[in-house]
Amino acid sequence: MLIAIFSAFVVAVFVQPLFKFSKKRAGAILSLLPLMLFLYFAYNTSAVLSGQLQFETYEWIPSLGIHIAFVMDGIGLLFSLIITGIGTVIFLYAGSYMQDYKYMNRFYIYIIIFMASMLGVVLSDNFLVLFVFWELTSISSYLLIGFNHHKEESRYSALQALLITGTGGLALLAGLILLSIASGTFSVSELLASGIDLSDSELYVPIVILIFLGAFTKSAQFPFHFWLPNAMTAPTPVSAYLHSATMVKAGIFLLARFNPVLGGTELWQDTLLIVGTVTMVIGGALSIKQSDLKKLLAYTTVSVLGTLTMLIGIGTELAIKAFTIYLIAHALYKATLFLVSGTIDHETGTRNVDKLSGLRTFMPITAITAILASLSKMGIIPLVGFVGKETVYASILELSDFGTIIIFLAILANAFIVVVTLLVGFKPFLGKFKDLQRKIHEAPFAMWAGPLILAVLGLLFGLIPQYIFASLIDQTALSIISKTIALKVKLWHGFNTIFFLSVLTVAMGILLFYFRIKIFSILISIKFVPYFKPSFWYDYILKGVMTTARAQTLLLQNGYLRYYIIFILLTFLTLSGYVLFVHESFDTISLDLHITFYEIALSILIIVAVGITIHSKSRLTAVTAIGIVGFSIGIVFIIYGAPDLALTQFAIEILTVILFVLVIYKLPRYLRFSSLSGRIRDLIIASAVGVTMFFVVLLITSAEMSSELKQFFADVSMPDGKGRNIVNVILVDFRAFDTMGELVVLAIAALGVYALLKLKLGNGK
Amino acid sequence: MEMNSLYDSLSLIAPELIISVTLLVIVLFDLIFKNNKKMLPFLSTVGLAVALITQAGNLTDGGFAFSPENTPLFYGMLTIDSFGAFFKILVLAASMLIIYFSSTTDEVNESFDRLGEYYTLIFGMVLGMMFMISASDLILIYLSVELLSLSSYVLAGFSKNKTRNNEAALKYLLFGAFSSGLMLFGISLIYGMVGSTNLTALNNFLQTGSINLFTITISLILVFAGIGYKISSAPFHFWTPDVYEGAPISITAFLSVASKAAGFALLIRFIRVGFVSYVDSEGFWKLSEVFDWQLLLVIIAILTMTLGNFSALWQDNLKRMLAYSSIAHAGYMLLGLAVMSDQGVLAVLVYFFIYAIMNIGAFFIVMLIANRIGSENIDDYDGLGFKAPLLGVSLGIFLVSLTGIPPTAGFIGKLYLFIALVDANMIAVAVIALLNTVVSLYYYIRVLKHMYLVKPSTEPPVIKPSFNNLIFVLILAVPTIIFGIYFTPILDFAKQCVQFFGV
Repeated sequence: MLIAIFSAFVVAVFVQPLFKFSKKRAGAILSLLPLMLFLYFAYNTSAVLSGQLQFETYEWIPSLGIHIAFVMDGIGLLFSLIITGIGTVIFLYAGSYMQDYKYMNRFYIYIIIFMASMLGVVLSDNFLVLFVFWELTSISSYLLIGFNHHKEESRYSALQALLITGTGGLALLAGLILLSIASGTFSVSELLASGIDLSDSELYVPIVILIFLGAFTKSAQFPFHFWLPNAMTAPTPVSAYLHSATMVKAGIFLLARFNPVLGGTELWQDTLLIVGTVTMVIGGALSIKQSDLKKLLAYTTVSVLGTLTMLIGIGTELAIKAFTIYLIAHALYKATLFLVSGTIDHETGTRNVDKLSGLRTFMPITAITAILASLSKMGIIPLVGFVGKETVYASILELSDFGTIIIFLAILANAFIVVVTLLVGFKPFLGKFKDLQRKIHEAPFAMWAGPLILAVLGLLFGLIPQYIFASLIDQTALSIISKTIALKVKLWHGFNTIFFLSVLTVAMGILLFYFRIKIFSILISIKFVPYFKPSFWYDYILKGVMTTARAQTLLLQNGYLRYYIIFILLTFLTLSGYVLFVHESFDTISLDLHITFYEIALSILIIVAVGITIHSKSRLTAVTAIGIVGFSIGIVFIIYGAPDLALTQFAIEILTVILFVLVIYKLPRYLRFSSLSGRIRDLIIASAVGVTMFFVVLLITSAEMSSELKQFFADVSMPDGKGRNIVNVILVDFRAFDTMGELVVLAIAALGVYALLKLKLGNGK
Repeated sequence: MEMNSLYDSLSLIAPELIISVTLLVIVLFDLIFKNNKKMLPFLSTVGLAVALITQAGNLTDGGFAFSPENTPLFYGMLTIDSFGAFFKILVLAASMLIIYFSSTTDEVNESFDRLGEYYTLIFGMVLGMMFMISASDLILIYLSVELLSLSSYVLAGFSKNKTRNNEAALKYLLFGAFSSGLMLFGISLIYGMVGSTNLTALNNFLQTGSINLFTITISLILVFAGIGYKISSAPFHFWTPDVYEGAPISITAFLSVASKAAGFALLIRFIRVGFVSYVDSEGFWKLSEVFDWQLLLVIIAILTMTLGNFSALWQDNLKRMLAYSSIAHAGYMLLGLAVMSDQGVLAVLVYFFIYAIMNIGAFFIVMLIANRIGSENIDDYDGLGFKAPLLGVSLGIFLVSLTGIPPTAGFIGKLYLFIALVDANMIAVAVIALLNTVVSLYYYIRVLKHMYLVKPSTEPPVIKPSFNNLIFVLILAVPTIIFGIYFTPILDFAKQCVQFFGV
């Protein structure tokens, strides 16, 4: 399986040269890739259907128990067949449809990567591998939606789809990591085989919520459904492939995949049931407001995805059977209808249903294809859609609690689907031809062959379901609910309630179709309050985030150094204020400080000097005042018996003042930049910092400080240093290296002064 | 101190010595051969390569350099261990990349006659970083931080004639002076309490000594201000965007990778050596209870990444955007440290390794494009993806990797981080980090959107990078993909390095 997936990536590399060789035939040649893969999976079918699962494992991160592992079981095989089978049709179709696009080669690279990633999602046997491929589908989908990138709309939709599915993807990652912690394994098949019951785990609820987020965003479930119709700006083959047949079903796949382990609880089943039902109805109801062929189809896709979710939520054997049949039926008819709408667009230049009618005479094959697929979609006997819908109804009727309500909603949703189908599949072909001011031909072979095959398959599957589905359903059910089901599939169940309901659905649909103009105008007049539209919230949040980001940055990162320093000071104030408040009582401060006259005098000197520094109008005065502060501190050092420090301090002080004087000589006079309010603010902050520092120093000095050093030097200076003056011994003996270093620094500083002086003289000349 | 001990110590710091010697060689060479500036990058690269090889050779060497004979071994100034070796190798390798980077940057080469200064100062920075990584004594920590900072201030303002350059350097200097002043005050308070500036002594003191809770808390907050400024974590990050935007782009890349790496190494060692009383069997650190590092780091990390990401959202200047994004990345890595376990540190190491590659790569391409079109503005990137296919794709790879989307190496970095967080039951924090990733997705992808999806108003110029530059880009881009799939080598390397702490 690795080789199958990998081969696709390899082919993607050779797309470019292939297009150099022949752009015309490239599509047809490339469609051999999905075809070969399809045959490969078909070849494996009998083994899987007889219950032999296929495994492949390659080491990746052995330390965490993460391997590149694949498993092919019932549901994986089913999806693989859909992906490659529909893929073949799409690749062939696009080869002709995309001829006029400039960057057709890029399209094929993206879509091949997408196909390989999608296969990776459905076949991976490891959470992380699953996630990696999952994200790859999101990225390739982004590129494909934005393919018509000259349109602003396309770019908006592409980004929207990526943000929503990407966010969901990250939630999924979190969910999968939690799942592996709760279950102790990263392997899907091990997890399923272990039969572990996670519902008691404290991580169960977060796991389920996160996985739901991943699945619902990907599969466009309410309230995340809005990205899917917007994604219709993609070229039609993309819509047919990603946004109806494959990618949007990845979320459904995920739910089915983890159903055996996470399912069975009220949280799981009820959420799926409710979300699925709501999505089903909303998708249907919103669809009939549209007039664009593709948007019409997109909303019904949303509706069908809702139905599939709902079926997992019901979770009975019958529901899983319905799930499988409905999934296959939908893939067959929806891809076909999308391709047909693409063909119509291609030949007539419009996708607006109101402008299209009577095309059957010009495009007979396409017309037949469309009508076959439409019948299947409407659930008309004897097509596969009929079997699908019948089973869906049957499984809903089994529900004891809300069966009646849900069946009513399901019929309503399906009636809407019938309306859409009539609009998309019948209306453009029947009736009188409206002139479109251009010559209309039947589509070329590559564009009608694939859809026709799919449509005919839909008929075939409906006529003889028992031969085709039976064992596949068995194996799929085994994957989803861990047991095989004994139910038979057949086309005709006789005239029972369900058949009656089917007829009712179609009748309602046709009725709605004829009154749709009226209903439509009513619907238009009901203006949804924007707060009810999730897409409004998406825009709102996005805009809100941007505005906050902007405001926040303008406030904090304003480019003024003084504000940056203020933030640091405020942080310091907050933290130390907090610590002071929490930890400290002020009792420990001893006010018995032994203050001498010298200290008082020096303090006053320092305070006055600082005052002068702040207030002086001339730089020279300020610098001199600063110098006074420095010298006073030097004297304090002397008082406390540190003459070496004092000497250093004096030297540095002199040097600094000289340098200052040299530099400020050139500067202009002070200018007043600050406002009064700014000054008051600074005063408050500075005072607060000062007061805090005052308390900090008081508190710290009241605590016992370690003073081993003094004693140490007093003890050893005579025996080791042969000197009585401790300071001298320290300077020239114990810390001789330091002293040398200080001398060097002084020398270099002197050099610097000399260089500056010389520079000034040079300028003078 | 006996001469033997000194001699042994010297052999332990061979790479640092090689760097110092190279520094002198460059100064002398520049003085003697005034006009042969082309040789400077070459000389620098050779010096760095020799240091790198020496460093890689004593990967598993352990010991304490400069420990006086009459004190226990613990009182060393420098700790030589494989944890430090990891960061030194990272710094040296990044420096080699930056040397090449600089030699192709127009901003740097315009000041032809001052190129000697440029490379000398780079080596000053490297030396400062190397000592920062090994320092296990507060005095040496302070000195090496200053050595690094002073060289960086000058380099940030290297292009003297540009106002934004001058502004950056001045802001950097003032901000740095302020922060290191705070740090120095904190250090002096610690010394007052402990009676030693050694980290191991600090640890012993915390376990046995009588502790004044208030003093220790204040002093640690002050020391953290200094380190936080080096790794640009909130709220000490304000200088970062201004300086990163103003400085020559090669220096910006250097600051954002190597300087930050040294700062992280310092922070990790500071906490690990100074505060951890023992490590339990699962690798979780038990810290002295005087200071809640975990709480502080979690809050700071969340603030850092959120502010970084939100500010990056609407930046139109790519250099500035990358500056904010590098702040956000520091936030993610702080979270790894906040786990306070060996696994968390492992995640940080892995993350850093990958971050270095992709960040330098992104800056390099921005530089190449700026050399050609003279702009770093995102609107000028419209349609560039098609005019410079290889550069476009590579920048795409780097940006996707910075976001942390598979199958790129950035994903692996984030993955290890998240696993470490979730393992330590810090799930809420992990979720916040995830949300942040979502935000970052927006602004990284925005660049791709401009390069590939927006139709340019005027025909963009064709950018044909030279052969050498292409190779350089590939050297960075290919590993970003390969390590995203096969990353066991990084992991093994990091694992080996996280196990040997000099404690």
